[in-house]
Amino acid sequence: MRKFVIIAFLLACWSPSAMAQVAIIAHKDVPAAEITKERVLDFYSGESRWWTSDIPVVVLDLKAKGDVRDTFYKFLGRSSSRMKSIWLRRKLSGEGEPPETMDDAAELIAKVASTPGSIGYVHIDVVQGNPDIKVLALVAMEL
Amino acid sequence: MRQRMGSLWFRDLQLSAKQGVGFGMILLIMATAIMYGLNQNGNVTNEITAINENWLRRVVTISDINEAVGALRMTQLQDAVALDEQTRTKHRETMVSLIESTEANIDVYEQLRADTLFLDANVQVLNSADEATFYDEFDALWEQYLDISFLFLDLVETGQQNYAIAILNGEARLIFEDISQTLGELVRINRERATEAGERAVATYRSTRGVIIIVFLGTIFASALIAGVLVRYITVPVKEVEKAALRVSEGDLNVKLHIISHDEIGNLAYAFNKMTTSLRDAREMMQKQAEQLQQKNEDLEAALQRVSETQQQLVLSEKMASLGQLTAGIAHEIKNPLNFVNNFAILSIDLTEEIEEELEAHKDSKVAEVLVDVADLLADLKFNAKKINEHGARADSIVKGMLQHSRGAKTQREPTDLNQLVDEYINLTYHGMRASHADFNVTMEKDFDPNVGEVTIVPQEIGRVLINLMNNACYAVYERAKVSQNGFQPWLRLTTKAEGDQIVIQVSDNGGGIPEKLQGRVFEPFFTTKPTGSGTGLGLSLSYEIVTLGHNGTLTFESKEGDGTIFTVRLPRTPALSA
Repeated sequence: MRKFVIIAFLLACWSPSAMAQVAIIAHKDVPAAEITKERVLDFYSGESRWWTSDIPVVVLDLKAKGDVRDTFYKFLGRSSSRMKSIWLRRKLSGEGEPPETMDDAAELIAKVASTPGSIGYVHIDVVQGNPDIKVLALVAMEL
Repeated sequence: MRQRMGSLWFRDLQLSAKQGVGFGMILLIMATAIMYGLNQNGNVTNEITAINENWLRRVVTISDINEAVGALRMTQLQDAVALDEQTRTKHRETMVSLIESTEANIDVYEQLRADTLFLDANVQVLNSADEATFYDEFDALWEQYLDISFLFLDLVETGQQNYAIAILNGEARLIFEDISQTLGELVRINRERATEAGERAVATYRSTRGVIIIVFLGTIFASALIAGVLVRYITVPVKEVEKAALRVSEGDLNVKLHIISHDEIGNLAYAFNKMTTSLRDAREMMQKQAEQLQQKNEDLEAALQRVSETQQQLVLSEKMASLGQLTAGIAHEIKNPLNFVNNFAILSIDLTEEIEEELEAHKDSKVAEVLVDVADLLADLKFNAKKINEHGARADSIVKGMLQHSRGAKTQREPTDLNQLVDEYINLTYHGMRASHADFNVTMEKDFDPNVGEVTIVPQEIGRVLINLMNNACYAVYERAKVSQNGFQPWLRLTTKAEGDQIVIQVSDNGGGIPEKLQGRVFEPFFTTKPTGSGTGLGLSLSYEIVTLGHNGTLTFESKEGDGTIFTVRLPRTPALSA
């Protein structure tokens, strides 16, 4: 059912008056068809490292500042600096490394497609038809 | 007290309503002032609250961030040169807590910013746009510093301490300086807000204080105004009523109150006016009645006076009537015996004359010696008889006089020249007086009014009156002259005067006057002050009868002992029909 909704959503995006959206994408094999904001936040803040008990999550971030990144962080409800300070503290405490930062959307997509358990975010238009990626959520961009 | 048309509705309110309106206004003003004061106070409180809690807390928070970031850099420097793991771990822990506190302060700052969105509209938030800009700038700088910090850690991990230190002293320091500057701007902005809010609070307080003072004064003024209004509508009318009542108590019943309001005082004034009007009417009525009483009193007194005079006249008339009757009776009775006495006396005289003639005829005989004695006796008899005659004649004349006195006054009246009559009788009297008292000199003065003319009288009777009066006057001055010194000049005055349809004759003298205690008796028959034997005492009573009963006039006198006497005869010119 939810897949249908997502596909319908995607189809809706093809229409000329479609909103710009940021897609939260993940490797095709991740054990989730959709994702909540809380879970995304958990992943991105390092609170949670696992999809399931045996599938670790690989968090990917975009380096370039822009609408996509801003939209994503706004969606998370955290500022970029806040996220960084969280990761710096984790690193200082020896709790782990921050998400890997991709230079651009293409690199991120390539990484997601090739990395099981990975999660990232890009502009929806870039995602089209990549079989190795699934879109777990969509976030409307405010233009 | 005139009322303006505009205040008509107020004028006619009841007193309680007037007071209610007045105090209601005062309460309204006070309530408004209090509400305003409270409102302003609320504003001030809000300002101060905003000051204390928000702006200054922001300042504190920002300062803490600045301090923390600075401390972070210092710690990083120390970490870079740390030699052992333990020290390093400690530094790392310090860094974590510094970053945490920075984040916590950032949260506080953001909450404080969110809070000001809900502040009262009166509390302005200055320079929000600037603050937002600076804050975003800080956020970006902080992110940069975090990026640098990641790099620092990597460098340290990979043994590039020197490079790490260089970065800390270079780029990191620059970023930190920018952060300090940006945070300084935020501090400045918030301090400005605090100052400005403080100033506004003081200004509000001052203006509120000023307004409250003005309102206070205004309330006093309004109270005075209302008191004045109440005085005008209550006290002044009441005082008017009081004044009016006092004037009424002093007797002025023409007081009228002009209070026309339709409240209790107006009603009181209306009732008051009605009261004085009815008092006035009552007083007028009483005055009329008093006048009527007065008039009646006067009438009664006059009537009393007349009655008293009439009474006196009646008494006198009665006296004289009864006396007249008495004398008539006595006279009647004496008349007959006297006749006999007279007749026999005359006979006796005749007889003796005869005897004398006989004796004269036979005077040579022997018997003559006896007859001489008889002749003596006869002479005595004659003498006695003469005496009887004498006294009888005298009694006769007394009786005649008394009969004259009791006779009614119904004799012939005729128009007579009064002045002429008076003049005649003056001469008669004067010569008669001179005849009996040769050494007596009295001045006779005459003063006749030519308007007197003719009067309808019985001339003999009036003449008798004149004689009587003049004789009395002459007697009085003669007696006085006898006891007075040489300087005394006796005089008599006779005047006539015409007064309307009355003629007035006055006989005045400067004799000894009539003593007061005898004045009531002068018209009494047989009353006289002359010694016994001279005068009958009937003169004045007879004169009185002639004048009053006979001629419908009046006979009065004025006399003062030692001064003289005036007798006044008033006669009507033409007699009224006698009773």
